[in-house]
Amino acid sequence: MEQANAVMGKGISRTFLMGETPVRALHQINITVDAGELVMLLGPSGSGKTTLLHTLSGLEKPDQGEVWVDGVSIYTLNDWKLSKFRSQCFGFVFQSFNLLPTLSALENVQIPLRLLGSKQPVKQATEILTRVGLGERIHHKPGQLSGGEQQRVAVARALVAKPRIVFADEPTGNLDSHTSHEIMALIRELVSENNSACLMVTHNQEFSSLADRILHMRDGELL
Amino acid sequence: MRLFQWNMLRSRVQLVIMALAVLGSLSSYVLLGTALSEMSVQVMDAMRSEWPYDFEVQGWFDQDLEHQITTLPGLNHIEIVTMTDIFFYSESLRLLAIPEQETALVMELQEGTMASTADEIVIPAALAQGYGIRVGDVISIQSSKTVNQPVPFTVSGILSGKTGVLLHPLSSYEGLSRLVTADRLTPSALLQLDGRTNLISFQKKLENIGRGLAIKAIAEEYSDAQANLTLSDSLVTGLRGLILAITALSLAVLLYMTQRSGSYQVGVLRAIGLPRPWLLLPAFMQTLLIFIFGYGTAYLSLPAIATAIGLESNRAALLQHLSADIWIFLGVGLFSTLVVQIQFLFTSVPRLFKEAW
Repeated sequence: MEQANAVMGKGISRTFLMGETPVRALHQINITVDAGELVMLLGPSGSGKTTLLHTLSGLEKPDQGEVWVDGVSIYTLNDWKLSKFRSQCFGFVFQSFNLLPTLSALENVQIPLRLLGSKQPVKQATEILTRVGLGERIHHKPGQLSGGEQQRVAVARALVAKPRIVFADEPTGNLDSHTSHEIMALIRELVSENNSACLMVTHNQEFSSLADRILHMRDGELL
Repeated sequence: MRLFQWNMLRSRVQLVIMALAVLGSLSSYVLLGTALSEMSVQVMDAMRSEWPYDFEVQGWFDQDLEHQITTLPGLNHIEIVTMTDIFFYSESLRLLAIPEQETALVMELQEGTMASTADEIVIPAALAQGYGIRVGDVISIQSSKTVNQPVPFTVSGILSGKTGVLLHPLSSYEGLSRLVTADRLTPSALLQLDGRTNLISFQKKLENIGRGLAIKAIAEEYSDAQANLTLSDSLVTGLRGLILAITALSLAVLLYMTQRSGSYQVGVLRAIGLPRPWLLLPAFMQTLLIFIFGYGTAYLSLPAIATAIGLESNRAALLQHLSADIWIFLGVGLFSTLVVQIQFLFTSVPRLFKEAW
């Protein structure tokens, strides 16, 4: 196992059943993402991008193959340990921001820190919210924030614990063009700052200049 | 705490409906159960004859013995009665001393007054009618235990001929003493069972007390009353089971709807590493809070509702039922919560993310 890779997937295959018909979602995928590297995964709908992201992030066990994160084969961990591992090593940004609506921006960002038992969750959360430009709006609830601001909170939540790897699934899918550029630039900046690895699924080739490496997928295979 | 707040407040309308559903079903459960129990007891009472006892026990009663008998499980009522066997013309009858304490006997008069002096007697309607006796007449009574001469008594009243009214003559204790000496007036304990206890096992328990008790089973209609109560108990159990099932189902549906509306967020929380118990705990706390609300509201409102619908159970008895039943309800609520939560906690995160989950 190569320790330099933040995440490595080897021989990953995944097949779903659509009714009684097996559908090949991933086929013998080999992939690595290094620390500090931003890898964009491009491809048409149904090509298996999100399934690959879920598999690499410990959310969906592959039928075949293995996933190593920092030298740990994550699917050998039990559910409790895998949950803990995800909270320690992974950050997630989703298309739908999915902040908890009854919690303020500050409280939403504190969730990963509290899971890790941080001693200064408020200070850390305030710092990163200021960093993403929401220093004045930390006590606002998600319903009081625009889509772009909510995604900034989601990015802050994903990166506040300085994860080893950030998984972003269409992070700009629900945003306008201007806000999308801001969010992408923000992710790029924070990932570099933290020296985190980032695997980002997107349809949008417009942002390819921000990536260190671009991978294309089609019919469950990396091209 | 914040997760609990999120869990509680994400669907306020459903939360209110859940709280009302618990309150409604808990109230129905307690009130219906109490009403049916009352009804069955009344039916059982109606099935009893004019001599509504199941055992007659003779012996020398003191406080200790009475306590031993009254603490036997299954005893509904006990009264100590003094009586003696008598002859009136060719009739062999039992003359009772008018009970001084609460009695299960029905002593409704159709005419006259209750015997109050040693030479007064109250006779049953059938006897008055059979011998053409009226109030104010003097009749002669002879003890069947002695060879004494007949003793004259003035009829002060005639018992009603209605069903269930006592069929034995009554006099005062002093009146009975005129027939036999006090040392031969052995008091009897008349026992009425609750209709659920097995007669034979109760008799064995009585016999185990010892103390030279003479025990006589007189439960002619007990089996009918017992059958009626068994049927009634089955009905209560069935209806309560039905209410519990409906409660469990409605809670499960409402909880499912609430959870379903936040399944994506549950997926996100699980993805970022929130352990399953952390998600389960707020749901249990929510259920607990709903039941505390239901219990509190029912505690305050049930006695008034019971009075309004004509239930005879007193406030304490009703609240005792409520306190006993809340645990069953809470168990059902927590079980429903667990079943629904398991659906979400053990569904894969990618599946929770899908719109058409």
